[in-house]
Formats: sequence, C-alpha cells, structure tokens
Amino acid sequence: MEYFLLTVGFALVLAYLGASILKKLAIPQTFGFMLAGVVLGLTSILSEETIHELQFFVALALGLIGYNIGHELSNPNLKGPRIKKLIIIVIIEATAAFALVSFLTYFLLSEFAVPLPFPTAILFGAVASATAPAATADVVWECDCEGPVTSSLMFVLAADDIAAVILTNSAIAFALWNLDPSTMTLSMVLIEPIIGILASVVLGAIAGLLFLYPLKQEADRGKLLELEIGMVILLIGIIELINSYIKTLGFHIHISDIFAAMVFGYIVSYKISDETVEHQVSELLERIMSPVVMIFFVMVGGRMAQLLSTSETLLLVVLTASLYLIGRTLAKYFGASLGGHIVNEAPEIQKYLGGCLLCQAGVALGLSFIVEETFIELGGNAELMGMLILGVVALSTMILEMVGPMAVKKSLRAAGELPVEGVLFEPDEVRIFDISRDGPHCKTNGNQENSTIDDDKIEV
Amino acid sequence: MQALYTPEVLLLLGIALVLAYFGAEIMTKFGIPKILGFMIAGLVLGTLGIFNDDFRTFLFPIVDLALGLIGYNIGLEIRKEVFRGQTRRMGTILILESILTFVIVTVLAGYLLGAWHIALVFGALASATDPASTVMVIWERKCKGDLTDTLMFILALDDVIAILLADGAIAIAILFYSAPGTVTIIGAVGSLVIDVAASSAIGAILGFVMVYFVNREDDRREILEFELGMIILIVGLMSWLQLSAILSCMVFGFVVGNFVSREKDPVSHTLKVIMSPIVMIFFVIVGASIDLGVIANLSVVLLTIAYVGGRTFAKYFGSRVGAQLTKTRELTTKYLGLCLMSQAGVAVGLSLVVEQNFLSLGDAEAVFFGTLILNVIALTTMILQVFGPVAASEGLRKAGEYPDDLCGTDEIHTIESLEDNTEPVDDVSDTS
Repeated sequence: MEYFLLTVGFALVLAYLGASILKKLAIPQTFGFMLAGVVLGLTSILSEETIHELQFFVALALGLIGYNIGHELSNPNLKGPRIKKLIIIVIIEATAAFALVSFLTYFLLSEFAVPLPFPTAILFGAVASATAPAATADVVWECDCEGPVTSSLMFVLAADDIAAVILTNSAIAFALWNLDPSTMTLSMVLIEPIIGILASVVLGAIAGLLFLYPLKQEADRGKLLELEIGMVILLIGIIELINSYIKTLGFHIHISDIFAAMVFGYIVSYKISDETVEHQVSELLERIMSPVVMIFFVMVGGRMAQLLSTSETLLLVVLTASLYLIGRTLAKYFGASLGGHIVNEAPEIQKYLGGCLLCQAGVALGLSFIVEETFIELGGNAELMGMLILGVVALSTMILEMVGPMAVKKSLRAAGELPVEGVLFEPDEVRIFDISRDGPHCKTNGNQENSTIDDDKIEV
Repeated sequence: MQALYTPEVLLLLGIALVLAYFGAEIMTKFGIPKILGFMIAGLVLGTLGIFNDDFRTFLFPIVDLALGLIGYNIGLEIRKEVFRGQTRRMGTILILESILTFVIVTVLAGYLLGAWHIALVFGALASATDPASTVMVIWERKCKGDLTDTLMFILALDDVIAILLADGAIAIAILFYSAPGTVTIIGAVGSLVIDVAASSAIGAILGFVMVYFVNREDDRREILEFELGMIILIVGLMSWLQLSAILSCMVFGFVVGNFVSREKDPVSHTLKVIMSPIVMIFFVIVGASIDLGVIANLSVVLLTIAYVGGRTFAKYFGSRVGAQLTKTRELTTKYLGLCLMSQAGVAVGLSLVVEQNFLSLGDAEAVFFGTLILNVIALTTMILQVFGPVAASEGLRKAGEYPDDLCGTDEIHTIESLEDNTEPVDDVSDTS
C-alpha cells in the first residue's frame, strides 16, 4: 500500500508515453496502455500484489464502461422497425462469433489435452462476441462519417456487448458446474444466470429511475456529473455486496455489475431528449473515466505479462489466440453480412457492417478478468482455465486494437460514408465540447451546461 | 496500513459521493460553499460509524492524491504576472499579515493548551488562506482594481508561507517527541532544509518535463492522463522519500503554469473536472474525521473560538497595518483584511499531514494532539467557510471593485487558472 500511488503514477506516466509513441503509428492508445502494463509487469514493478490491490479499479472501470455503453444504446435516430432489424443482425453475428470461436478453440484445446476443453471453449466463444464501441466511435467522430452503416454501427456495437455479458455469465455457471458437478444441479445452471441477469436489470433500472428525479429537478445537466459518477459507483458497490452475500449463502448467482450499469445508462440517456447535451455529457464522462480505464488496461497488460512469463503454455496461448482471432473475425464479418441479407437491410450494411465490428477492448477484457478472478480462487484446473482465458483475450485485444480501427476506416470508406476530406479533420475540431474555452463570462445558451460543471467544487 | 480491498469499498465511496452531492445541494440553497456540505456529509457518515477508521486508512491514497492536487492548483495560481506589480509593497503586507496571524494564533493556542510545540502548528495552519472561494468571487463579478491585484498576490503566496511554516512546526514537534539525543536541533534544521529543497527540486524537474510534453502536444486535453499520472507520481515519490507532497506539487504547478509556451493553454480544465470527485471524497473524509467526542469539550470549544477569533483579528489588522505602512490606497487598506478570511483545502490538508505525522510518532500525547489539531481545523474550516466568502464579497463591494453590472467585456488575464465560473453568481448574490 505504501508504494501504491508511486506505482499508479508510474504506470500512468509510462502508459501515456507508450500511447503517444504509438499514436504516431496511428495505433489506438489502448494498445499503448497495455504495452506499458506489459513492461511494468515484466519488470515486476507491477507485482501481483499491487494488481490485487487495484482490483476495485476493475469493478469501477467496468461499471463506467458499461454505463457509457448504455448511453450509446439509445439512439433517437433509430426507429422501431429498424431496431428490430438490427437486433436480428446482432443476434446472428454474436451467435456466429460465439459458435465459431467455441468450435475452433474446442478442437485446439482437446488436441492439446487441456483439461475441460468444452467449458473453456464456450467461455472463449462468449467473450468473443463482445465488441468495443469506444475505439470505433473515435473513428466515426474523427472522420465525421454519416450514412446507414454509421447510424446502425453504434447500436450494433453496444447491443452485442449485452449478448456477450449474458453469454459469459451463463458460460461461467456452466464451467463451474463442470468443475464440480456436486455443488449444482443442471437446472440451477440454467436458472441462476437468468436470475443474475434479471437482478442486474432490476437494480440498474432502480438506479436509473432514482437518478431521473434529480435529472428533472436540475436544469443544468453538467452539474449532476458527480452525482452521476457517485450513483454508478454506488450501484456497483451494492451489487458487489449482494454478490458476496449470495456467495456466503452457497448460490452461484452472479449479478453482473457491467450489465446493471448498462441498464442504468440506457434509462438515463433514453429520458434525455436533447441529443447535443447527451453527447456532451457522455463525452465528459468518458474523459473522467479515462484515467480509471487507463489503469485498467495497464493492469490487464501487467497481468498478461505475468501469466505469459510464468506459464509453460505460451505456445498454447499463442495458438489459441490466433484461432480465436480468425474465428472471431470471420464470424463477425460473415455473420453481419448474413444478418443483413436476412432482414433485407441496405446493401452497404450487408457488405460493410461486418468490417466495423472487429474492435475488442474493455468489455471482453473485463469479462475475462471476471472469469480469471472467479476461477483462480478455485485452484487446480480452474486456475489454468482462468489464466488461459485472460492471456488469450488480452493478447488478441492487443492485436485487434491495431487492426480493428483500420478495418473500420476502410469499411466506412468503401461504404462511401467517409468524407474524402475527412481525414484532414483533426479529432479535436470535431469535439465541439470543450469545457475550457468559453471563459468565465460567456452566458450564451450553447455552453451553459458545460461551463458550469466544475465551478465551486474545486475550491481547494 | 495493510487494509485489504473489500466489496464495501465501492459501496461506501458511492454513498459518500451521493450524500456529499446532496449535502452540497442543500448548502448551495443557503448560499454556502459546497465544501461545508461535503464535510457535513462526512460528519454524518463518520458519526454513524459507516466511515470507520479502517476505511479511512484504506482511503489514505485518495487523501494524499487530493493534497497533491490541491498543491498543484495553488501552484498554477501563482503567475509570474503577480510579481510584476508593486512586489515590495505587496510583499510587506503579505509578510506582516501571515506572520501576525502565526504569532497571535500561536500565542492564543499556547496559552490555552500550555503546549507550545502544538501551538506553533496551529499558528502555522492559521496563516493559510483559501484562494479558491475568494478568487471565485472575483471571477464571478469581474472585480478589478488595486484591492483585487493585492488580494490575488497575497492569496497566492500566503499558502506558500503556511506550507513552509507547517513544515517547520512539524519538525519542531517531532524534535519534541523524539527521545532526547536521537535528533539534534542542527539535524532537525538540516533535514527541514533538505526536505524543502528536495521537494521543490523534484517538483521543478518534473514540472519542466511536463512543460516539454505540453509544448509538444497540440491538444492539451490529450495529455490529461499524463498530467494526472505525473501528479500521482510526485505524490507517490514524496511519500516514499518522506518529503512534502503538497510543496512539491505546488512547485510543479508553478512551473507548468508559467513556463508553458504562450499559445498553449497552461491549465487543463478537464483535470479539474476529474479532481472534483477526488476533492469531494477528501472533504468527506475530513468531515468523517471529526470526532464529536473530542469536540464536545469546553476546552476544545474555547480553542476553536480562540483560533477563529485570533485568526480573523490577525488577518484583518495585519493586512491593515501592512497596508498603512506601505501607504497603500485607502480603500485597499480598509478592506483587504475582510477578503482573507476563507480557510479550506490547504489548512485542512496540512492538518491531515500533521495528524499522519503525529500518529506515526506513536507517542500517546502526540496521537492525542494529532487528533485534536485535525478536529479543530476541520471545525474552524466549517465555520470560516460560512463567513469567509461573504466577508470577501462584502469587502470587495465596499472597496468599489465589485461591479453591479455583470456584462462587462474585459478579460482578466492574471487569473486564468480558475475557469468558467458562470454559475456561482447566484450563490453569491444570495448571500450578499
């Protein structure tokens, strides 16, 4: 604990340096953060103990990531029938990724005689269906894209994370049952994840409805930011408390904090009609989140380095990761295309949506972190499973973070939604929302909500 | 300090943030700064036993971080431009005002406590003034004039004096409690000098590193994480080396604020948004540290009254005498003292540093005094938060530097470090 801040500070500085070097090569920051984590992990500055102490960052980061995804989910431009079509596409591409990755990794794992190949493969499949809205959204904002693919993209990206959370929770229950069949019955395996998901929805909805009250009272949305963050943290805290209580009762119900946060975020943004305000708030939230999320990625990198440098199964991890990547890419691409055909979407969507679904980051990593945490406590085969999953997902995330955004750009350009001069746009020009620029006395309506966010809370 | 992570941590943090928010909301309705709301929320949580000592120990990194951020903020506020004016005149006022406060509060506290090494700590802490809430008043109303200029100078620099005095007072107290012979006076003075010099040097070096990156980057917001990381790094480094984090961060902030090339925005406004939950938690923790058992005691109440009274008197007359000696304009002379009443982050932060230092001494008396100091400072901060800003806006208005017309067009360049204070206009107009 003594060197806690020293380590964190060092990690942040190093992560920034890593990211700024990579940015020159047009590689997203996330990769740099993870790379910094790898360096810190290998030099054992980031010890296993420190990572354990930082664990509440994982919960915090996941909650905030989930909340942001919930915000992305509600899009006023999408109307009822369109959403139905998109949901079908999501179901098809997510299921395709799940099935194909499970299938491929199952063969590899049983070839290598890894214990319990089937549940492990299912877990891989479940995590594979998640996509990262943040990295993709950056590309879209940066280039000012517009068109059918762009408008449906964010929804698809956010919605298949829901699928991933549900699948992973079920897969964890299934794997636990496989590890020790005596503790659970099959019906419990089927029912408990459902209860967990339902409970997350209920808790998230309660938080959302409670937050709506001050939202209506306060005209200035920006002023609620601290309360908003407080509510997210509170929600995650309550869920963690309930989860640990349930565990002492001997059930395996796991209420998903990330899912509850998504529901919370969805309700909040659904109730806000003003789109520009909404966009500003979610951007500001993202800013506040960024150090937390950054530490999260550094942790993942560090953990990955520890796992890979100590495990004798490095070859297995690399092979599994490559199969995982191949299976996921194919399934996402063709799944989206097939889904587009079935629901008769615009031809651009049929052709190019799949290419935009390759990014993988926070959700997949967070889920594999949860898997690792759950399984490492059990020891033995389970520990191996947990390490394998985190190692593979972390490795594949690093690769997808490089490839994914490029694929998004390419696909959008091919779909004709990337303005020709778009590349010239600097990211900061599009980010209209700057809480700094409007000086102290601008009272124009446009920046009222942003300019007041940090007034007297910073009296220090 | 091995407090392990439990699921309750996030729950408690969430409760603290939500409750603090509502506490601040209520305070805003009465036109009182939000800090009081945060502290009352903490007081409630602490009294109910929800925020227990274990949890506070767990949150120590947040306290350290908040101290670093507070120091950084003060450093950013010290602009080279403030030295441009009549430095000698303002410097005289500054020194008279802060030294008088130090002496009077020390004498009063020493008389009441009978323990002079503790009284010195009280005196040192009393000399700190909170720039934020006063600067905010100036910003909201776009005050301009001689009083405003002098005020900006004094507000920025008397915290530096307070930090140095507190460092010295802590060294003396440690000398007092250590076994005779182990620490010599020369050794104590030497380590104090080394402490101050090393803290400043590290802060300055890292500050120039930071300046290099700020100048290179086009978009200031892109280096937000780096900035935060640097601050966390300094704080971590300082606690490892057992130096003063708040001083080091202040020097860091000064370098960053003043050496970034002209066309760049030296202040990261987004950082302040990120800071606000941390500072919120900080004040909640301070509120939770208040032990009603300690406060509900006649001698503590007397001490509090003496501290507030002595500090108010000394700040007022110290600045008045200083101004008269330097033949400052009449209106400034009259009303400068009124604007120096606020007390917040620096004093509270330093009292937490004192408490941590005293607790680690292990001596029963030291532990008792550590708790006492923290409690008294927390209590006085709550009182001064109510009156300080009111007095400041009153003083500025009486000096005629408080335009009623809000739609002026001039920009104030010397105080770029605080931003966007559109909103609190309402708070102040309610109270004044």
